[in-house]
Amino acid sequence: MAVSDLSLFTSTAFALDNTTSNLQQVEQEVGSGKRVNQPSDDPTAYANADILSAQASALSNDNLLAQRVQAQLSTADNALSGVGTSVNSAIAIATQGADGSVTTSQMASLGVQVMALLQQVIGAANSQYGGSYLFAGNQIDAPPYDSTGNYLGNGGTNSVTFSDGTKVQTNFDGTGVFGDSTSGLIGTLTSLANALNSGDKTAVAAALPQLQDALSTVASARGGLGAGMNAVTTMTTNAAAEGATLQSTISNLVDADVPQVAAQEQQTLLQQQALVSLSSSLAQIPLVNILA
Amino acid sequence: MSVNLASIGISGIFAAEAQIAAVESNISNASNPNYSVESVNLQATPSFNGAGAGVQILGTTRAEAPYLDTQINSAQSLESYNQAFSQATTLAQQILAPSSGSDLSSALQNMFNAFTNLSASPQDATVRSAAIASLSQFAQTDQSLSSGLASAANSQLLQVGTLVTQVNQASAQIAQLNQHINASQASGQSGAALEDQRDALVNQLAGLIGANADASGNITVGGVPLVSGSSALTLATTGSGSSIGLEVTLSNGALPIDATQVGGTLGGVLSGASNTLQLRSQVDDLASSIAGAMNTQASSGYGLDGSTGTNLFTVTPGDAVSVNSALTVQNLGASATAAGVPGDGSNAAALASIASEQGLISSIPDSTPGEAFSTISSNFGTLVQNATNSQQQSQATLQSLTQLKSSITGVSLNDQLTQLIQYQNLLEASGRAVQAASDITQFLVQNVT
Repeated sequence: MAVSDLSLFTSTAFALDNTTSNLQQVEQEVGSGKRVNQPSDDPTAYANADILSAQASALSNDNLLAQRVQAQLSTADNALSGVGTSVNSAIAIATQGADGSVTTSQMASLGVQVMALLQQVIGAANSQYGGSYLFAGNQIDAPPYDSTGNYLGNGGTNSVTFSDGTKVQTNFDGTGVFGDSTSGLIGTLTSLANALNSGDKTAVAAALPQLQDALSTVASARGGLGAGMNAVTTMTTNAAAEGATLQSTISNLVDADVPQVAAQEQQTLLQQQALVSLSSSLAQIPLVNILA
Repeated sequence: MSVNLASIGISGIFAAEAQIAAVESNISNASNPNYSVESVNLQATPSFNGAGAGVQILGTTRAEAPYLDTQINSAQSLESYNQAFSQATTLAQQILAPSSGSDLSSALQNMFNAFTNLSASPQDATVRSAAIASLSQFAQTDQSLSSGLASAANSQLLQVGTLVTQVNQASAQIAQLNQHINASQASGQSGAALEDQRDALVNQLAGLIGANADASGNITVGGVPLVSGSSALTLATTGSGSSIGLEVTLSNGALPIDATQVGGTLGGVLSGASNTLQLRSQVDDLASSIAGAMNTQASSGYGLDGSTGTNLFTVTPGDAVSVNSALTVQNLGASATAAGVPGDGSNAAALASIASEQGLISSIPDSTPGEAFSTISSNFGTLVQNATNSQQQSQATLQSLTQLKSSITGVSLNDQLTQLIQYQNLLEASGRAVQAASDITQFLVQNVT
């Protein structure tokens, strides 16, 4: 088969074009460090990486949100911790006030202390985080208790659901923890203060078991908060591990194998140099030179 | 018996000169890709007495490879189609999945993240503003994607007019060449150069529109004639935009060309634009479905101002979505409870949960919105990948066929130089034969007289 001189040049140019195109592809991989830069590089890997990136984004958002939820629950827990101290003080005062040796004026003095504790408890019940009242149900834009302990919130609650399905309550119905002016802890403290002020030792003694119940309620509420914080911590720990796994999987899907790509680049460069060398030698047609 | 020794030698000189002329023509056209190597046809001059009478020149012929020509034109059509299609779809892919990574997928996830955050702080004006901003980002990404794809398709379709003009110019030239070639053949002259030109134009038409040609230079596209003998018919476009079509104008009407039968660059451009518009339609459908689901959920909720029924998006069928201009921080329906309870984020949570809702997009069932977009990207990526591979394969096939044809019709300088020496020797030998005849004649004249 005769080989035309034009075809020698065109086939060499064609091979050189292909090699240059390959080199461009390889250099793009080396430059970006990625094997998959666009869907057509590997459609399945691109789609999987896209889905996994969305999951990673949700996890990253979960982590930021978890910090906020933890801080909110921690604020509520600190408030309830103070309330526990106040209730214990109230129990000590009630125990003292119910004693037969206490005078009426001493009881009145104790009543003043209970009123101060009541205000502390109402202050704790009006705790807020980031501008929202934590024990107002979901009427969170205004203090849930007035100075006399009337509840102004509602019975609603609010929760946050993280991407792994973990659901944590973030706002609480205050009456379930503190009661109001006529019931629960606030009602008991109000009654106790009134009993102390009026010198009614029987009523003071009657407040003691109610205060114990209130202490249990506060402890139970703190337990609920603790469980919520634990759930958030577990979710955050799992999210960190899952996030690392996701990043690793995404990396395996789309990142370039740098040593392999570098070797490929070297090979392609050599091929290109050989073709360039061949192109220049084609210019010297042997027979023309011989005849000359 | 009389033998004209000189005339035999002279016929050899003429033959050698003709062959050297052919070789020189071949050498001078060695780099002309449309040239077919030429050779001189010789025939021994008949004699009536058994002795040699010299050589006759029958004419000059060009090397031909008609089967390969057909194959090359077919490969050229496919290669041009694949190249145009690959370019169009690669451009669309760059719009779909920009290297910056700010695609619809991330905008979608940011939006759902924002509503998860809103469910935790439904009363917080900053978080509510961030949720609305995420809606705007999603809508703007969809609008940018949709308009970018529409613009890309329109740019591709703008090429059609130019390509049709080029087809008509090539058709007219072929018709004219057909006439000249027929005239040359009728007068017994060589039409080799004209046939070379016609072959090149036929190849150009194959690359432009996927035309087929017969040995006489009659051209058809999808069975519809473009050139018939010395007459060229006019190709024209019908409709516009996505409904653009092609037809050939006849004296008594017009003959439409089936778009699926159109190859070459024109076919690739039409198909590329069609696929780009299909992609746009898929993206808009996806965004509309998501926006529709979010509207349904949001409008059942309540804003901080106690209002209800407020949509998040304005959805126009067949177009990109936009954020409802009446949406505000106050009337965003994050709450599922009436009377504008500020601490209820359950409707925001329900909006965020649309992220994991399957089957929103009927054409891609069993997929969440994010998975559906990934499927669209993946499917289009496969289309682009196949187009690129096909383009590379068809380019290699075309190169291989062209090289094969070149081995038959191309100029090998080694061959030509060898032949040149041979014909120079022939010329010299013929000259010596004439000299010998002259010497004999001179001897006879001197000695006989």
